[in-house]
Amino acid sequence: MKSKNTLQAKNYLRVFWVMFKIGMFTFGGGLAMLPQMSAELTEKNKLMKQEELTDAFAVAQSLPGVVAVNASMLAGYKLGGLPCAIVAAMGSALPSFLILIFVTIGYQAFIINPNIAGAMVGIRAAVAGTLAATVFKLGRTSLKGVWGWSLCAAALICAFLSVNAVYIIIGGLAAGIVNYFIEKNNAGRGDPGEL
Amino acid sequence: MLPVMQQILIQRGLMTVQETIDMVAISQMTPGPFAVNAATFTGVKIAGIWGAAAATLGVMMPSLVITSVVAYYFFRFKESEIVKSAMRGIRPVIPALIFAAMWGMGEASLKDALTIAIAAVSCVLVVKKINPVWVILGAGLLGVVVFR
Repeated sequence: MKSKNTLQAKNYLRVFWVMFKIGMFTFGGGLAMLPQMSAELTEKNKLMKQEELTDAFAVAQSLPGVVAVNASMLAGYKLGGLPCAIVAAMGSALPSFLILIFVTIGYQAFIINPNIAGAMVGIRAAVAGTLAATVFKLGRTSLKGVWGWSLCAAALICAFLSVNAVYIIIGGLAAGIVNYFIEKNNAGRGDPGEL
Repeated sequence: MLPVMQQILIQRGLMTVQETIDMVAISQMTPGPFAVNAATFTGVKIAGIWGAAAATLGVMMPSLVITSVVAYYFFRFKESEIVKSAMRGIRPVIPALIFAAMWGMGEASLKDALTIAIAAVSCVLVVKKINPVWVILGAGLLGVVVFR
């Protein structure tokens, strides 16, 4: 029994550390976290499938609150239920918390520091690059056939028309459910009692 | 969230206009979720380290509560046909949203040949499964040398 508990503690610690690293190196909004999470959780540690992580982000993006915290929690929940979800959320938020406490004390010097300004120019460009890579990787796994590409194109048009991401996700959800009923209806063709 | 936050902080006399502007700048220059950064900054300013802890927990609380409930039902019904179909509709939408985020970030940050080169190299490295943590660290160090 004791060894099982130590094993669990070790796993929590591992999830905490992985999420801490992700929080430490995420710049930008909630979706900017996906490249990091995908590298740490699916590629390096093989804790979940890319598709599962994408699903977690889709749900996270459509819930109220902080998207990055939502996404950390959903990934954590998948790995080990509610306790693990809380551990993951705390792990990903802790670097922000610690860094901001120190930065805020001397923030005027921080804002005008040329080294930090220079680093930010490089980091922002790199974030755009990592997001492009993630579009490419996700495109490979989740854009299949006319269905996937046309939904993606429609979503892209909406995004550039500044439609809120939540509505775009709900649109995808609605399309999926409508498709489900159409397929169900087709499968039951010839039986007028169906539907 | 930001306009609401700025309005309340200024109205209640907790921060000056300039301080809220600095809050935005700092939150964008530091790693981690913007909301958590802004909350920690506000907390420290108003009530020190414990204020920061309270503000950070406060800003995370809706996420912690709502996502706990949603996660429970999501993972419970994940294998049902209807949820699976819904996810089949949602999955193709996500690359589009990330593309839009990338576009916004690119428009704001790719100003010259060098920044475009950094973005292109970062993209290739991450596609080749180099951990983005290293890519971002490298780009930051390069930025200190080149852009300061």
